Amino acid sequence: MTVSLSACSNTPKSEKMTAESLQSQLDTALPKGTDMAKVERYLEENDFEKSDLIDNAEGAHMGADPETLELRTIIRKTKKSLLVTTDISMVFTFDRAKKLKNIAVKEVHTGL
Amino acid sequence: MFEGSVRSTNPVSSGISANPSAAPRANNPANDPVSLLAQAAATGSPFERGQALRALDGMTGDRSATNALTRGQSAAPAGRTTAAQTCTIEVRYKPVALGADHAFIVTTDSDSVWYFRGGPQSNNTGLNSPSSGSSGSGNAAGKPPFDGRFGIYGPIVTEYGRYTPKSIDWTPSPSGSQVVDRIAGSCNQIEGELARHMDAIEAAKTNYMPLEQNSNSTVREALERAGYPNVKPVVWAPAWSTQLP
Repeated sequence: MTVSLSACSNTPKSEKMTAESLQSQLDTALPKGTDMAKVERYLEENDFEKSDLIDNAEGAHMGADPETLELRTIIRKTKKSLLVTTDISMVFTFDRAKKLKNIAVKEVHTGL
Repeated sequence: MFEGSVRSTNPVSSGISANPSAAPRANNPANDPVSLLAQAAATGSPFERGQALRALDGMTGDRSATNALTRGQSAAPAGRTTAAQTCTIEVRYKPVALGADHAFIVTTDSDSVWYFRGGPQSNNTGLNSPSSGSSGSGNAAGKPPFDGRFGIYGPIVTEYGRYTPKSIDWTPSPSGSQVVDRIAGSCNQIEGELARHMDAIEAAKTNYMPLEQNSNSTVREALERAGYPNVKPVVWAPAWSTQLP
C-alpha cells in the first residue's frame, strides 16, 4: 500500500485533514473496480472502522440505488467551533459484483 | 431502550398510530392472504414455500417475492407487510454546545434502522461545503463557492441513511429520546415521507442560524409535514418551534 492515511476513526484528527485531501488519497489508492475485499483490507490497514455492509435495496423506497451496496466510515470531530462540530464521512459504493463504483468523501456538520 | 434516556410524556408517544398515513398498514391484519402467503414463503416447508412464492409472484406478475426472499427480505409484495411488524418513530437528542441538544429522527422496524437529520452546510468558515444529500451521490468533495445569500454556516442541509455506529448522529446514549409513534407494519411509508420532506427542506435553502432555525427546526418541520404536529422536545432543543419554508 503506497498511501497512508495516518488516521484512525476513533481518535481526534488533525485539522489539516480535509475531505478534499482524503478524497484524492482514496481515489488514488482505490480506483473504480477495486474488489470490496481489497477496500476492506485497506480500511483495516489504515485503522478505519467500517460499517457493516449496507444493501441499498433496503433504502430503495427513499431513492437509494437498489443495485448498489455500501460501506461507510467516519472521522469524528475534525473541526469544532463554538456551536458546530464537523465530521468527515466516507461512503464506498459497490455494485452487486462487489466492485467499487464510487467513493464519496464529505464534511458533515452538527449544530443545534 | 437507552441508558439515561428521557422518556416523553407527550400524548403522541404511546399506542399504535392513528396517523392517517399509517392507515394502510394498520388495516393489514395478520390473516390477510398476502401476509399468510408471505409467512408461508418464509417459514413453511420447502413445498409450502414454493407454493407460496409461486402464488405471490403470480399476484405481482413478476418474481419480486422470490427475489426478495433470496435476499433475506420479506416476501410480501411492495407496500404490503407481514404480520406483527411494528415501526417505531423516535426523536433522539445529543448534546452539542451550551447545554443545548441536537435532535434527529430514528425509525426502527424489524428490517432496519434509519436516521433523518438536518444541520449547517459549513462550519463557521464562510465557505459552503457540499450538500449532504443521500448516499452514493458522488463527487462530494467539490465545494461550491461562497454564497453571499447565507451566513457563516450556509443553508440548512439534510441527510438520511442507515443508522449505524458510522452514522453522523450515532450515539449509544442519547441525552434524550422520545417515541413519537408506533405504527403497524414496516417503516417504508413513513421513511419515504420523511425522506421527501427532508429533501424539500434542503431544497428551500433556508439560512442556518444556530439559535433561530437549525437542525431542531428541521426535525420538527419534517415531523409536522409527516402528520405529527404536536411533538414537544424532552430536552432543551433551541429553535424547535421555528417554522421552515
